[in-house]
Amino acid sequence: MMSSMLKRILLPNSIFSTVQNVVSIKRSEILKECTRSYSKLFVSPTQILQFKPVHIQQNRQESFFKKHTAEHIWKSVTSVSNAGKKRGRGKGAGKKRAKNLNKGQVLGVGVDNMVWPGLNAPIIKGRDLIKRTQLPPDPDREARLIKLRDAMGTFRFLKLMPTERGWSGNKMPGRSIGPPDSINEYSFDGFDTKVLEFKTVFCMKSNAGRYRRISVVAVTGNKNGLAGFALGKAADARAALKRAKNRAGQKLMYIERYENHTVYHDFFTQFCNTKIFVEKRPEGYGLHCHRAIKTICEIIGIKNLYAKVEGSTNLQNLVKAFFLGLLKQKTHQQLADETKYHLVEFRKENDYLPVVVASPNGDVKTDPKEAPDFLQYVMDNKVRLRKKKFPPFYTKKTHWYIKEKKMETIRNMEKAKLNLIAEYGEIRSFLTDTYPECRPLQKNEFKKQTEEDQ
Amino acid sequence: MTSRSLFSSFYRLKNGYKHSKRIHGINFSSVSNESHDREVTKELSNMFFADSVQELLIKLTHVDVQKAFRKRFIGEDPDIPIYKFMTTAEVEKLQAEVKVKANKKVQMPPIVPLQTDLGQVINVDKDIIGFDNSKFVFTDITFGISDKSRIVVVRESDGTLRKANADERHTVNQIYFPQLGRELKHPVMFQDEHLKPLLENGDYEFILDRACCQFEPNDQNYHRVVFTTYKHVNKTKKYQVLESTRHLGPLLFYLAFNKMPDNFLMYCLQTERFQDAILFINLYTKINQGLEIELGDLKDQFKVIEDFINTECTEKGNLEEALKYYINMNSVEVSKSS
Repeated sequence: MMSSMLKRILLPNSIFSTVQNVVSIKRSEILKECTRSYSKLFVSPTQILQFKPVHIQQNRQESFFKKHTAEHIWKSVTSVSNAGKKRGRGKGAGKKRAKNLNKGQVLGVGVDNMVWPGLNAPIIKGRDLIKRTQLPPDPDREARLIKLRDAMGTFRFLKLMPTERGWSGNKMPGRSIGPPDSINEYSFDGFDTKVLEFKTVFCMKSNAGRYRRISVVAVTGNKNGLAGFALGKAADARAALKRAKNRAGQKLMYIERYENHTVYHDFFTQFCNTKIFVEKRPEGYGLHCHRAIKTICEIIGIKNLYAKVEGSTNLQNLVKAFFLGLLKQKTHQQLADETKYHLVEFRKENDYLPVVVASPNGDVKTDPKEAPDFLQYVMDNKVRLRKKKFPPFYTKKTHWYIKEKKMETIRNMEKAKLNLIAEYGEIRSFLTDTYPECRPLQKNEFKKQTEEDQ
Repeated sequence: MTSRSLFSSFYRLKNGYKHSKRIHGINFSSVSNESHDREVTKELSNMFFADSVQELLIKLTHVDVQKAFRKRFIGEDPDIPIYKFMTTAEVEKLQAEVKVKANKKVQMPPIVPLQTDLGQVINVDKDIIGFDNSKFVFTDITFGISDKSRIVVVRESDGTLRKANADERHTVNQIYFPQLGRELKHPVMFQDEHLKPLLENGDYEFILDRACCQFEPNDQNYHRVVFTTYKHVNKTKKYQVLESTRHLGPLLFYLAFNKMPDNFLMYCLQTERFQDAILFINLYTKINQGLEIELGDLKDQFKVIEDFINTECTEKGNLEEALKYYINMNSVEVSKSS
């Protein structure tokens, strides 16, 4: 009965009718009961719809920080999942590291700057007993701790000097790793080793399964014609570098150079699908070639050279092909002996003065028509494809024509200005002599003026 | 020559600005330098070109193929050498060609008299006084006329028509027929104050080469620069620098016709160039006295040198001592070998 009544009371439409019916039948009884137990329920409909704020406070006996060890918590923040690791996440400069929060904290020193005799101070000083005292608070303590923790958090790679850097960033290839270790009192003085390749390789072993090693190709040399290269593998990077370096030191070969600065002649060389066309260059040209070839040349002591790699640029094949080519070079004397002709050199800077650089031992052939062409002979009849260079597409457009037309009047302006400065010490107009006020804007004058205005 | 081709072009010089300044203010030649020298006359110039004299001068130059073809620092990058396989006959033929080429390379710049008709007045037209406040330069730019014989005349604003002076000629020639390495404005290094440090540095070859390139040989500036350099070389006795170059011949010719044989003879005796001494004495007598020396054996030659020192040289004591020392050394060697 109570529940049905409550329902009726709560439904606003039926309130009046039910109340009236019931009242008319049992007025006195109802009144009594209502006033006794359900008086509280008789409230206005507006009051029923209001919400009152509820304050919730959890009360747990165990905290998150109490439940886990510091190591565990730090790991959850700093580590990367196994799947992530495989994709190379969590490496490099942005990697988070665990901080040792105990660092910089001393037992007995805290927020309140207290003197605790026996803990952070002696008990007796002279004849007096030291008492427990509170000193004025140290304002810098907090800042010092925070600074210490900030410095600890992030890991930075050791910055290399520009001269020590390799080909790219602080990766190993192209970096110098010093001379090979001396063998039985024979020390590699004046030698230097450079890494050419540094990579991780795997193989499957019956016991260990996937077996990971570091493979290093290094070239060593004395920058004076002596050089060698080798491959070294080890589980550890440092050991692999050392192995490659020391093995390279035991495989030295002497490479002939023309006047100690370039190769003896142009040549073609190939190993597997790596084809290299090497060209001799005059002094002051530099090394224009693949970075590995450049590094090798630096180690050998070749200063000027042009090389074009065709086909595969597999590094180990490249190194082998280049060394093969260098070793197959023929000196001028060898060429003269093979062909049985005098070898004559013409230099442009000497106005093509003929110089006989080598004469064959024994008889010289007499038929000039049979003499081979030097370049063909030396390149073994290989010819590098030299593609014709076409002018860029935009030179045929209208805008280019318009630009050229505009530039025509001002193309020599800079030179004319320079001449004027050399002759008169200032930029002048042809009217400056008759009208001194006619003086064009000088170099850097506009800049000076704006600076003064400011 | 028609008037059309003669006046096919004219070059107007504006008052003020660059060219007027050049033409009025360029005369930086100092006459004082030349007052000591004997004037270069037509006869002297002809003597220079005479075959016998040229032969002597070439012998004195000692043409060395290696030095004639040496590397010159002219701002060009070195190139890759070219190689060829050749037979012995081909090589020999090339070497013969090279010798001819080397002789051509050390061809001597001529010693010629100064141009005389500069600034000669042709006509004065009083009617056109003040026709303009600029001068007018007329020239003939017909193809195939040499710079030397090109007609260049100037109409002054006061109506005078005259032949152009040296600087006007240079400007006009360089504007219409520019020559590689020659500059429109003469380089400052040829001014006396700038020339001195260069001479002290010993850059004789550079100065002489550039003077050859910049000036015509009949230009007063050329004579001034070249003769001062010759004098300086003579003073410092650095003939070695100019050996096997274009300039030793004219230098010795200059020394001979100005009668300054002392230093060169001394240099020859000190460096044991006995033949050079004889050749030089031969040259000297040919130019100054028009005589040929008959050469006998070694003793005769010593006698010739001794006579020459006694009659022509000023530092007789030093030279005689050097000669004696040389004779002693030589006779010892001769006796040893015999």
